[in-house]
Amino acid sequence: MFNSTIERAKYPILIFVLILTSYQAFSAEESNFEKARRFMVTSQIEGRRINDEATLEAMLSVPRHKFVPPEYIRAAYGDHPLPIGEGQTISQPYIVALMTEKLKLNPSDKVLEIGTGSGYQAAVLSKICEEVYTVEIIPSLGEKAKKRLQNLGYDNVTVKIGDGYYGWEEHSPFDAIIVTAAATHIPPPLIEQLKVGGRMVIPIGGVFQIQRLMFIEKKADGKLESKNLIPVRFVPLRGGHD
Amino acid sequence: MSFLAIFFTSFSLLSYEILLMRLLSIQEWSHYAYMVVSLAMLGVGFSGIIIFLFSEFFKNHRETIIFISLLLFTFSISLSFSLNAKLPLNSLYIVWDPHQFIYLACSYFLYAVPFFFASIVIATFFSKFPKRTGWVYGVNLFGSGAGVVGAIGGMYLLAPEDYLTVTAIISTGAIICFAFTFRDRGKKIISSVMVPTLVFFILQLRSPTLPISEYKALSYLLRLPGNKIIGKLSSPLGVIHIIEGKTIRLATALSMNFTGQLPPQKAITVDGDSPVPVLGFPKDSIAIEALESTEKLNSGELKVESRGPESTAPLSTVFHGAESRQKRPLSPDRGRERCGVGVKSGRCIIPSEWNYLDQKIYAVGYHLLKNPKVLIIGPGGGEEILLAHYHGCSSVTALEMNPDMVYAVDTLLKDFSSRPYSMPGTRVIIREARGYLEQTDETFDLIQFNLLGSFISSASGVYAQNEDYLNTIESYELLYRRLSTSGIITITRWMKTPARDGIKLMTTAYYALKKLGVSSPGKHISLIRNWDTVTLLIKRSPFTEEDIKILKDFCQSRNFDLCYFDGIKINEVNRFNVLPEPIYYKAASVLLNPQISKHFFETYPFNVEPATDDKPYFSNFFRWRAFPYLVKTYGKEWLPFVGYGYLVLLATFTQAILIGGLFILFPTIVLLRVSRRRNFNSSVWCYFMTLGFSFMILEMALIQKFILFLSHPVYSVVVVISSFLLFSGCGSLLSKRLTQHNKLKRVAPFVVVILLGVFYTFTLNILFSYLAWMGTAMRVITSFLLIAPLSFFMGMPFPLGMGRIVTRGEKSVGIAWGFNGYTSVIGAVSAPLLGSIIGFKMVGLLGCGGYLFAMWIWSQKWET
Repeated sequence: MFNSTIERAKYPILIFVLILTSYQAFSAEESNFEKARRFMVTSQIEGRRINDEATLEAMLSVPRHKFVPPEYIRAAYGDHPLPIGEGQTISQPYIVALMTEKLKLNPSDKVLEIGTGSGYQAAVLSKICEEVYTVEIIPSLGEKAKKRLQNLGYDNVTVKIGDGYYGWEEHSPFDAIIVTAAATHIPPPLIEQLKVGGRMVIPIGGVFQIQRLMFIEKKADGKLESKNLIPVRFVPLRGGHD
Repeated sequence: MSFLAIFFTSFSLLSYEILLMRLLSIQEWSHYAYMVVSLAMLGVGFSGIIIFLFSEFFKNHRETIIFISLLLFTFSISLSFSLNAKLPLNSLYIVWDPHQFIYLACSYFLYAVPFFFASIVIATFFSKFPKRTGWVYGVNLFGSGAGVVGAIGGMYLLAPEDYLTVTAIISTGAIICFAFTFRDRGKKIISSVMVPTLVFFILQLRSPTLPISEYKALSYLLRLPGNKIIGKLSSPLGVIHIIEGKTIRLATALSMNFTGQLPPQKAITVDGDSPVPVLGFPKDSIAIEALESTEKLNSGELKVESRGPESTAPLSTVFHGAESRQKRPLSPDRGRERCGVGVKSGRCIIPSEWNYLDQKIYAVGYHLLKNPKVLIIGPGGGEEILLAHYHGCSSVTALEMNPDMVYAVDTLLKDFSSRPYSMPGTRVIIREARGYLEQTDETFDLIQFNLLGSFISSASGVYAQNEDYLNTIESYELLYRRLSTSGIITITRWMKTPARDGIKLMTTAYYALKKLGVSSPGKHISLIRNWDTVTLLIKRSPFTEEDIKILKDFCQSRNFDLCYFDGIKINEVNRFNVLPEPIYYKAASVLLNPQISKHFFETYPFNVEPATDDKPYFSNFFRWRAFPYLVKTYGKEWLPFVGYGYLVLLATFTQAILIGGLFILFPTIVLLRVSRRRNFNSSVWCYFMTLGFSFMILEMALIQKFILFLSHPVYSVVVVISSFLLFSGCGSLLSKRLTQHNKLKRVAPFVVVILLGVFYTFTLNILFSYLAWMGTAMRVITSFLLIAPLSFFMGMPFPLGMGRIVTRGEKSVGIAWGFNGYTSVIGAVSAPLLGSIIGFKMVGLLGCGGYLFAMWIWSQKWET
């Protein structure tokens, strides 16, 4: 009798134990990722003098490990970019934070991103401002990012698969534009879709190496002013010059 | 038949090596190819260890070993490349991902396999014919030389991936030849029939297409929806792909003020990278009018000159979509064909859609000069030719090195492009720039060259170790001499951060002008930039006030920044595209002050000292001073700051020494001690190691020297290597006969090599300047004649040494072969590294010093 009860109950018990251990393992893993994220923010981002609170909070809350391919999950919070397939990368956390900070976003801002990639940058932006529009030209990347952002509940991000060169006219003008896709020049339609006083950030460099950020501001007369920001420490020029 | 087998094996091995370099350059980048191939060649050295370890087995089964090794060599030629394509190796990600080192090791192993088996074959033949070592070595060198010529010639006819199959078939020839040496008739027949059949089936496993890195421009363009390859041209100068699609918009160096639409474009990539645009010809009313007028006026105005070596070269194969057809060589007849752009009153009409060309930074020269006579170096897709005609130039001379580029733009894309190379008033010269400028006395009002290949490659510094004879002090002197009295040179490059290219351009120009005796070089130089490029202007006469005013207006209207001109004020710089500090202005003011410029060169974190013909590495900005900083920040923030190519070179050198030491030197020394071989003393291995190193660095130094004379690195490599191998082969064959009996005769080869080596090191450049009048064929013949005596005598010391030890058995041969192979690789890898540090003159002298040392060892007793 006792034996038969055990016999009957053994599978439900087994399933219960499995669920419990999986849940515990999952929670432990999530907690590890959270720790890694916190460490990432303090050491890689704050440590490099990024102080904008909104940016730091956004970087703390977006689970970066959910935006990288499964084989790179353990490296998700490392101080470097990661390949995401199709010859694209998810930028180094510091670069994402730097670009976000330089956009000087307000909560009511409308932002356009050209080059969705994994969707990570869009997710970070969505934590700070009201509306985020992001365009990805490579369909496979765009579809995956769209699904990922939906599943993770980033409802204020709208993804479009299309040619980012023309921006997204129906939602323009934008307070800020971020161009993460490779470009040999600044597409004129994007400049048109930028509000007066709007900001644009373009990272320049190879797929794995951001050399500098170009920061563009549209002045009241419609003219552009650009600044080159060097995102990394550099031994400055020394010599007998003034 | 055995010697024929040696010939075919050597032929296939060298063909494989050349093909591997090309295939990996297309698949990844040339620095990666260099790294992989040089290490894979250590397979040669490793074969010596295996022979040493299993010397008894080798001695008893020579025939079987040669046969099986030949078989495995043949299979591995084809399979190593296919299997490598399956490895998830990402060479750009290696800094951060330790797994990549495992993949890289697998890659090395796979590529080393053919080298290993082929060298087992050759080394075993040495033991098989102990009294004919000169012959074995001679045929080996002959075959190798023929293999180099065969591979280069073959790449004119076939794509490199297809020629790989031909190489495997040729090595099958070696198997058949060797099978005929079997005494057993049954074995002979079975081997010569079965093997080709098996090879045929194995070849079917080969990957049909060449996988190109997903980070190269071609892969990126093809990922964009609607883009596709519509044409492909292949030659040893590069594989050209033509891509069409609606998302192709290449517009480097463009002003941010441009708000119009770009005309339709197609893109051309070379080796999968460095995309250039080909502009479409809009079918608007002006264009149609232009075309009609062209029909009437275009009657042989066009003059096409083809003075380069390729005019006599075999035809390339052209793949156009699914079709495959033979390419027509350039011929003056093409001048009679309809030109794609309009001509009215003897001048070209440019469609309004191309106005954006004037918004590019390198349009500056046309604002300073009226109707100039223009020389464009490397016009690529032809955009700069259109710009010249847009500004009403009096004539354009287009110097393009790769005839396939001209053919792709003007013939394959004739229905789309404006056919810029065929425009009236355009003269096309297929030739490398330095060679042409040395030869001609013609002067130009505007000389323009832009070095705007792939930004990704350029930014990562993969070209750091590419020889660049166009950006040296001597080259700028030559360019300056080819300017008319008020002529201007404009040079545009990517603006890297932190600043280095622009500064080095200025320093090179400054020192060239100083060397020419120009009293105030600063008055002849100006520098401007936009947000991603920097343009240097060098004027034959000093820039006038009027020039400066034009320059200011040009920059103001396009949001370009003035960086330097004589008399510039700090408030005039860094206004539109603001840098954290006005670095170019500061660098210029330091440079022009001789008292502090030395200090500046010493303290700047990059090497911005001018490049010279002796150290022709303009893109190498690495300096050892920065090394501790780089190590400290490894993997975090330093890659953009150093030439990736230079790091790869350092890594290649280090890994070649370490891995070679670990797998070749160390086990050999241990085994020698364990086996207590008394008859193989240090003199022997020192001799063969010195020879391997010295032979390679002398050969590499001569390749560098002949690049200028033969006008192209590919031709220099082919002529120098093939003549080296062929004449060394002759020297090897005759070595015994010429050096018998007399002691003086025995050291004669060393003495001749040392004397000729020193003589060439100091006199070749002078000799070349006297021979500048020669045509290509004459240059090739002269090169062969110059190299012949040196290489003839360089072929002797190895077989002579082998003759002294071969009677001691397999172990001695294995060690000599292995050590020589090891140091050959070290020599090949260290030559460019040493060249960039001490210059190629010193590299040549070092090689001669090596032969002096080898001569001293040779004259010692080898037995203990």
